[in-house]
Amino acid sequence: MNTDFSALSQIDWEQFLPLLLIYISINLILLGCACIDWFRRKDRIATPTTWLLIILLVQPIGSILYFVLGRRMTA
Amino acid sequence: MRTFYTLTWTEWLEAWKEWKIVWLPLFFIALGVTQPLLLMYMDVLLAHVGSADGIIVDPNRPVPQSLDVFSATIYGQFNQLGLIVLIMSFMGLLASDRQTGMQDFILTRPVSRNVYLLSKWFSHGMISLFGMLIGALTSYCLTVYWFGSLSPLLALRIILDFSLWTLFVVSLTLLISTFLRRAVPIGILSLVVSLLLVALPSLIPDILFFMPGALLSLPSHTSFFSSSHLIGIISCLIWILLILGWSALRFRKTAY
Repeated sequence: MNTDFSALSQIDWEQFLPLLLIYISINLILLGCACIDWFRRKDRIATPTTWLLIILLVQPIGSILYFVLGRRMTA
Repeated sequence: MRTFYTLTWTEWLEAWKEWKIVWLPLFFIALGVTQPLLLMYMDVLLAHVGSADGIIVDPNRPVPQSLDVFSATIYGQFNQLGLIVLIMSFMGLLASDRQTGMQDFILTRPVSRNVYLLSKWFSHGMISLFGMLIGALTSYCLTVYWFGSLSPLLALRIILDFSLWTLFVVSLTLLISTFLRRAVPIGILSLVVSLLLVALPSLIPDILFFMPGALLSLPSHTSFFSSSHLIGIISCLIWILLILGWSALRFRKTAY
């Protein structure tokens, strides 16, 4: 694991920040949509807890996997 | 015409209810941002992320041109991970209707089977193109912002080629859906076939120039009106029509 946090101060944040914000906001929107949808349908999904963990932990792809596969696997 | 309009509208409504309209463009934006980002920050990332001591990037390497970056985004990112997610998103286009019994419901009404198939193809193609175009536009803006100007005509040609390829993949999935019953085998088979159709023409471009995947193996600076590109476009359109016709024939014979 990289514990050299001084590297963070060397990155050119001024150019990096807008992009990082785009990335984080895309991820947050996806995460939010998936969570709202999970909350609405959690009684109908086959294994709701597993899917919530997938949405929260497998960050970029997890919510897409939930939308494509998880929400159709009804109990 | 009215039934076609209604069925297409229903598909869009369903895509909206399934959040597909939201996540598909978001996913493609993320994909389109990845390639310029990686190329732009290669040095910074190599120097600071992970324990990659001793690795240096050749300081005399040519600066990546904006055309290379953009075509790598479309042909690399969109056509690999993007294609997988696209096929996953519409692999159930007939299968899910069949499983819920919606197909019986629709086809016992005075709805022509061809109109039903065509509306499926059109709506799923348009939804996929919608997501893909938004992602490609973001990628184009970012590429121009970081790597200098890129002729919009060339970018449009690359996007148009990929759109035609996407429409071909939708019709391929439609054809395979008339053979198989369950969604997941349909998705896997159409993914394998479409990857083969991209790989084969890039291996033997002289013989297989008429395959639909040959559009994607053209050199990235090909102009729109060059003969190889026009031949590629026309053959791709013909392939789409042939496959749609074949699936209509298949769909007419099967009794549901």
